[in-house]
Amino acid sequence: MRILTLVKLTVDISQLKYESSGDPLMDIVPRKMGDSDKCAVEEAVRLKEKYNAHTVVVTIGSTLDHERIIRDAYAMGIDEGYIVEVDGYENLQAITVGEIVKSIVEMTGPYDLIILGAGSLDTHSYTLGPIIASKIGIPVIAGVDSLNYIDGCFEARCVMEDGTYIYRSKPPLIVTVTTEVNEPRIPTLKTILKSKKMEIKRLKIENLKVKLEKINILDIKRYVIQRKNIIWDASEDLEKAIDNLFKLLVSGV
Amino acid sequence: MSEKYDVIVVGGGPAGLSTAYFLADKGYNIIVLERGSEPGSKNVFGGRIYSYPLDKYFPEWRKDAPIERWVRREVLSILCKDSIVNLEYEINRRLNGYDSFTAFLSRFLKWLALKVEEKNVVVATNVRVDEILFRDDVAYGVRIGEDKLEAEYIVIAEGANTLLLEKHGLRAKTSPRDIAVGIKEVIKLSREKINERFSLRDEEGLAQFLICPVFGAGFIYTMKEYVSIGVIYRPLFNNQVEARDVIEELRIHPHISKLLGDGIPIEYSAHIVREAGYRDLMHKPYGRSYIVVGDAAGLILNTGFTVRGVDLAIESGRLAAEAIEKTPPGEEPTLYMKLLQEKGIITTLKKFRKVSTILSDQRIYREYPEIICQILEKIYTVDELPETLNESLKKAVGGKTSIIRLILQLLNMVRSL
Repeated sequence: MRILTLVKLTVDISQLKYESSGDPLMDIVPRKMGDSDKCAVEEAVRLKEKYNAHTVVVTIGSTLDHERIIRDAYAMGIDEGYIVEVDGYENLQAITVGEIVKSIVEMTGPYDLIILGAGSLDTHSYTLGPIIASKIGIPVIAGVDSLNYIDGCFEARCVMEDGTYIYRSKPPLIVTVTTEVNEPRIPTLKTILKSKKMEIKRLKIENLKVKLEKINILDIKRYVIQRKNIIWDASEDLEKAIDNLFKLLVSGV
Repeated sequence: MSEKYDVIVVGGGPAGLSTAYFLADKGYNIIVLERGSEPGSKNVFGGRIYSYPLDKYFPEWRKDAPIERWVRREVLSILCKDSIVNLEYEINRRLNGYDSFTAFLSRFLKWLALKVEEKNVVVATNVRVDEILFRDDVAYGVRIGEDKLEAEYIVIAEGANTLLLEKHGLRAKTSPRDIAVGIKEVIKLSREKINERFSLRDEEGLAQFLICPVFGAGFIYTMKEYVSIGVIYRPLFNNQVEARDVIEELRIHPHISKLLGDGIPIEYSAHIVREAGYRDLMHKPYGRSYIVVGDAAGLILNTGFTVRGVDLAIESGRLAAEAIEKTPPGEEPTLYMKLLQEKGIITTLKKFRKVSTILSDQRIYREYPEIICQILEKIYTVDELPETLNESLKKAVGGKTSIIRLILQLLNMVRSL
């Protein structure tokens, strides 16, 4: 079994700070491997341990942080890693990323499973899995909460609002996972040391057959919830205020 | 574990990384073990680094080190309730000609870690050393959770919080009277506002030391687009404010809020600071196959006007490397202490040994500042009945102490500084 994992370097939103104007301070926020991507890495490593799979990780961008997240993936147990060197990685279109992945699969594949996080911490578009699927022409199961490999088939469980869906598919397959799928391991000293010595292969974007399309990020704003600010004075008539509140809640504010 | 290293460095701070840097030049196979997610992530640091050791050992450092601003303005301030008294020293030199610069230690250490990694040193992060392994008093490795790692030499660079040394009885348990808590906030402010409010040019910075009856000692350092403010909180004082609120007190002081009121706090951190000076210095910062460097060994110097830590850490790292090179494994690197003495580090610490006593005297922060503020207030208040300096002094001192005693105390203080 051969497994490809995709990891994205995203801002650590838990550490985001804001200007008084509400603009986030993007230049100082730390970057890290996306949470659900980390779960994808863990899932790949678990499959490797069970079925002796060969695992590969890819990230796109050329900062030192990108190298760090590849080493993080190595420390968790991934066997082989690629960095696609491109400037302005934050402005890449999801479709372009899909093409890059397709090109990597052609160069380094084939793979039985391509696994990635369902949505990234920063853009939350949830589109990359399906885009890659359409580019390569293989099935995709998105938003997976648990994954198994039974009798040559992947079995994925997705917990949705209206019930739990169970999908089965033969490889090759793309799976996007949520953070429910597992609890990523903490690397041990041994694996950290090993990760330091492993080679990271670098691919220049020019050498991939990809039409580079970028999007312009015009502005990044804080998400503000508009409050309705409906206030009743309950000092006169508490019953009436409760009544009003109840009516409003029932009407579905 | 199959792999064996020549030297294990415990701690990826200034002292640990420097030791690794100098040892790597001598051809050792080294690993640095850092508890945090990256070098510097566990440090809390005011903001100023003295440049002389960098000039000596990192000839190209000015090209790529993450320098924020060169310190041109040095200010010592007494902050009273609604007034401020400044003693200011300012020097004009060409940029690069200043003795110290402000920096974020986390960025500076990332830079240093890269230099160290270029020399094929492994810097492993997220690794917490739980124990130093000894065999008949000879250190031979470290334990990390279930894993063991062996080496011929162990460099202990665990910083101010000396948990490992205390665990192995190599250092007396830290007493509350020997430490303070450094509490720091980084405030975002535009470059233009910093330049204007602190009267600085683009690359020039300010280092300000504060004395205040409410919170004790504090500091301000200007970065490019940030200002780092902090308080040195002494837990044993009869404090009017809780440690958690003390930085707020500083931020809302009229003088500080005028400067930083519209800034955005983006970082809050706290760490213990070793304040006992010479008394805290390890008499034997080494043993068979191990050596202690930097803050962990007590190599931190507060002269009353300047605080030095990073430069001593770098220097001790270099001397430790030399001692390790010249001492066969299994023996005591007594040369280390000799070198510390020869280079004047011990003498300097000894020279300033009384400072810590003065700095841990509450009167420095409580009585004297108020007296000074009151005298100046009287002098500069013009009304129908002006007072002479002598009258103001008498009034300010009031019943707190006699003038003669005050003068004796001050004299004693000056003699110790």
